[in-house]
Amino acid sequence: MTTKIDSIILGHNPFFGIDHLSAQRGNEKSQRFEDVGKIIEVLKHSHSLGARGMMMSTHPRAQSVSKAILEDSVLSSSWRVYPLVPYIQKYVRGSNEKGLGNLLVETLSQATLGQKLGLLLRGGKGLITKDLKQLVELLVDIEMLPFQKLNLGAIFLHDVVTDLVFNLGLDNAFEYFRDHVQKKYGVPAAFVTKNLPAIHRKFKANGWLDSPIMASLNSVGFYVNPSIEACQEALFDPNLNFVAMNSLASGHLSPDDAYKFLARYPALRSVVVGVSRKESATQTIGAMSRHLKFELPPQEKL
Amino acid sequence: MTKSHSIRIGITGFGKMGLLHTAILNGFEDSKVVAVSDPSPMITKVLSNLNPNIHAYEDLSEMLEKEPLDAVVIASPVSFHESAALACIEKGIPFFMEKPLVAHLQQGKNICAALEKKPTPHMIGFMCRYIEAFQKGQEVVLSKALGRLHRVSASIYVAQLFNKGVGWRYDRKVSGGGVLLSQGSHVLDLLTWYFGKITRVNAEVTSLYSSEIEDAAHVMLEFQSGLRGVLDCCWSKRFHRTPETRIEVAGDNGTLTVTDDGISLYLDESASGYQKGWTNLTAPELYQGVEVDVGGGQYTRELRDFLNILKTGKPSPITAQQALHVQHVIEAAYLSAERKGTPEVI
Ligand SMILES: NC(=O)c1ccc[n+]([C@@H]2O[C@H](COP(=O)([O-])OP(=O)(O)OC[C@H]3O[C@@H](n4cnc5c(N)ncnc54)[C@H](O)[C@@H]3O)[C@@H](O)[C@H]2O)c1
Repeated sequence: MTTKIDSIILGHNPFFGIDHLSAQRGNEKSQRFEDVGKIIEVLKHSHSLGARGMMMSTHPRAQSVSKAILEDSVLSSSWRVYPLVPYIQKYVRGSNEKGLGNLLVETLSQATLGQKLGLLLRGGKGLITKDLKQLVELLVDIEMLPFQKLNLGAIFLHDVVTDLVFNLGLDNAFEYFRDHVQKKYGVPAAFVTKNLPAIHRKFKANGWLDSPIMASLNSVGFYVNPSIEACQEALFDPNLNFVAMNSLASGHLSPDDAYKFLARYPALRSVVVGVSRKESATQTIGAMSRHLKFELPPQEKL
Repeated sequence: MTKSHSIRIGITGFGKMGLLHTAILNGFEDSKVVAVSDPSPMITKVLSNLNPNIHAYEDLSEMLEKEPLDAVVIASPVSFHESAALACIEKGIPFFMEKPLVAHLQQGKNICAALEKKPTPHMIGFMCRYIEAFQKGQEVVLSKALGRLHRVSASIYVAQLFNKGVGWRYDRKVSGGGVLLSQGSHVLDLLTWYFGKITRVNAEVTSLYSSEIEDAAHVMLEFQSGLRGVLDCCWSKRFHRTPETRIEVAGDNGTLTVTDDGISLYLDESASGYQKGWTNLTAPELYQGVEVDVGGGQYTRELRDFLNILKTGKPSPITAQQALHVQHVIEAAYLSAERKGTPEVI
């Protein structure tokens, strides 16, 4: 499958009240966006500047945002959503209350996917490798329920899962995720990671580089593991479809400095960036078009 | 070093923390997880089926019996810490154990007594000491830049509980206590790391949704140095998506605020290499990359330090004895609260 994803993807964190630099700032943003109309305003403004997609987790607020996108004449036809699955907070809370095993069984039993439920009954005692394929497929489908009618760009696997699966040595799960997403949803399966060099090596060795890989990248090395130097090999691999996140180091860098820095890397395909106001969208997307060789749709006035 | 020469680890308690520690230690170049034990086999069996290099057990003693292990990670619910630690000490197997030390003070004393008889390399997982901002804060405090200290005020808040809680955390028999033991212990560990031993407390606790344990606690502290302060904890605090810790300390020469997000220092006069006026350091400036990141660099750094103890024989940075002091403080706070806030000496 060819990998074609949007060059500019808006992050969902500011809309959902998550701020990596300051929890207090996150809470303030969350208040501002209680009115979903305000989120849609920022999306449409970004659309007019050439952005065409956004990340989205199954945060409780995601449903009303999805609905508003579908109801908007511009966004419903030309705005792509990049789901981030699974919604980790939900699983952490659930596992505190029920334990991981019971949580898994309970999650799977929500699926209205009749015949596949046979798997559950065996799940407790003897889940084996070939069951893993079915398990992965079921979990993806359950996580994708809230995104049913939206135009999709790719489906991203959450970094916590990517990095757990990788370090636990469960490579098959990656393969099942890739196959299922591409076949059933017709978009690339993509992966977020906090360990770019290791994931790049693994994916290269397995011939999986068509899957976009998202990781933090900025000149101060914020959330870049193990170091910027150690990521060079990946970032100079033209076959890698690299998606940069945290490019502004949580507001520590100016957009111009941030994108001048990213421009040197041949692997860069796309940038995920959080914008919480129209002005910041103008500034950020403007800086991207100045420094990055992104092909954006023609600008249009709303 | 090849994987076959690497440090062989067994994990007991394969819940969230067990999973996290397994992934990190398996990701390291020089260690590998060879066995996991958990009385509820659903997840461990799946893991072992999918990765046959990891053997699953339902019982810790069977795992210790059958597997040649270089170290054990104890990540079971708190009331099982004592028996697991004692089993490791008896076999002379080094162990890394999650915080808090134990559910009840006596269990902690038993562990420390056993360690005294048979010293065994070990470390307690107070991971806040491995968060960059708290490390920087400690550097500033130890530098004495603030001059004579006036007061410290600390808090930890998280939006976790807004209904009656389900699970072992809210069952006093298994957890040993509520937010003070579960979350407050992190801050008390930091405070003793910064300011030394605590000698006297008085406290009040509040149950909002729980019947057996406290959901909020307010503890007045007096340190051996004479410094006084206060710790406030609550896990039913709205708008705190993840636990947020804050330590504020004032002195003759200025003030210091440390949070998970960074430090903010104000000095009247430059001192100990810190400039006059404001010094603000944020997370992007303080960040340090790690060799394997699963759930935060602090977990990687603490486990790396634990492996260093094993490899170099250097002393443990966080001993059971230190964790026992935190346990003492918490037990005294509970007693004080029961006695309507009378001061308790530790
Ligand atoms: N450092 C931190 O940031 C942090 C965070 C959360 C929890 N913790 C600590 O980690 C430990 C585990 O917490 P968790 O959140 O992972 O809990 P959890 O409920 O997710 O997992 C606990 C696991 O232990 C198993 N278990 C129950 N009884 C056992 C026994 N007798 N022997 C072995 N395993 C047993 C359970 O089946 C479960 O799988 C606790 O001590 C907790 O205080 C530390």
